[in-house]
Amino acid sequence: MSKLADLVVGDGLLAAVRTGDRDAAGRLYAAVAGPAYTLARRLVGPAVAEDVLQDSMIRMFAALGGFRGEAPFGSWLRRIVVTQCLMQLRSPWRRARVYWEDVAQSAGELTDSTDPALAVDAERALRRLTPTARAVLWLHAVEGYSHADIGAQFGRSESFSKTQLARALRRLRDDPNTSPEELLCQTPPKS
Amino acid sequence: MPDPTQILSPAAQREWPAPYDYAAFEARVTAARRRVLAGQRVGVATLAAVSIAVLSLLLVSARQRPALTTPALTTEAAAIVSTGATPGDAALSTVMDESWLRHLPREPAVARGSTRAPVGMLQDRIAWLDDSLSAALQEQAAHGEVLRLRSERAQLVDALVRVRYAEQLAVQFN
Repeated sequence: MSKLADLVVGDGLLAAVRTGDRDAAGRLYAAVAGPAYTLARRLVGPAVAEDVLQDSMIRMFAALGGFRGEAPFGSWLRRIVVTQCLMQLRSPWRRARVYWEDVAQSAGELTDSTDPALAVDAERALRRLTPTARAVLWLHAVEGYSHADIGAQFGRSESFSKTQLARALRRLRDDPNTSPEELLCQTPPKS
Repeated sequence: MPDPTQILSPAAQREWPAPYDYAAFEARVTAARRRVLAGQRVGVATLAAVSIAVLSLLLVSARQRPALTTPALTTEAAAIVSTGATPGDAALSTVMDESWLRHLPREPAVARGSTRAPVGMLQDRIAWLDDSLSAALQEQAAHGEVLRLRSERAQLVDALVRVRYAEQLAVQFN
């Protein structure tokens, strides 16, 4: 599970934010923005994740008055971030944007990077998947979402999630060494 | 099949810092609000442009066939357009409008160049409103906000029906 879901924020801080305390809002932002951005970046890529972070933070501050603490704050915020990410993936125009930024970043990272962390197999594996397949795989395997939840979040059926996951796993198994050039030659999604 | 949890485990440990701090976030929000206000102005301008386009098309059509007042092809559409003008049941009107729009051929969506831009703007705005409505409903936004979005969407769908209706008239007369 991501660090966002495990995030704990004190009730005092939340109460201060609700009263309009700007410093408290800044502290809350500082505590949650990193994990929220990390999850968004995993689901929609770095450039789109910046917009998702902004929208998620706006919605978090707007909806904070309605947060009753029935679920952990991290889980509540994770739902907001995931919803914002999937809105990007559901829209054909936005999905195309996610795809092309993803491809451009993949080629850059795999060919030019000197950061050893980017050479990790897991990073390469994720880059080989389509944005939708990657989101389904991540939500299921890392965030612990059920297929029914994922299907509902995408506005699709449970079997949609199962199919996407099976395709993602097949791709990881059958195609372990896709080169950046091959990545660039992939067919973009229809918009 | 590979174990996905095992594959993704190293990646799941990785964290990125936020790309901008709280001050920058506030600046982005202010800029976004300005864009929304500008978008609302564009929405009003779009409605005005569409109205002008509809009136122009109707005028041209009336000059070309002054004797025809109720073309057979558009009986259903005419009923829907007149329904759209009736206040009080915007939701039903929107459902009917969208039902009529679905019966139009998708390709080419617009037969005349003069209406292509307004139709495109309307469709973009409706798509944006759909996203906003979806988010508002999921996050249980204030009832007034949802009503405002629905109302604007109903107006735009109505405008879209009118421009497509006028288009159909013009196509039939020419």
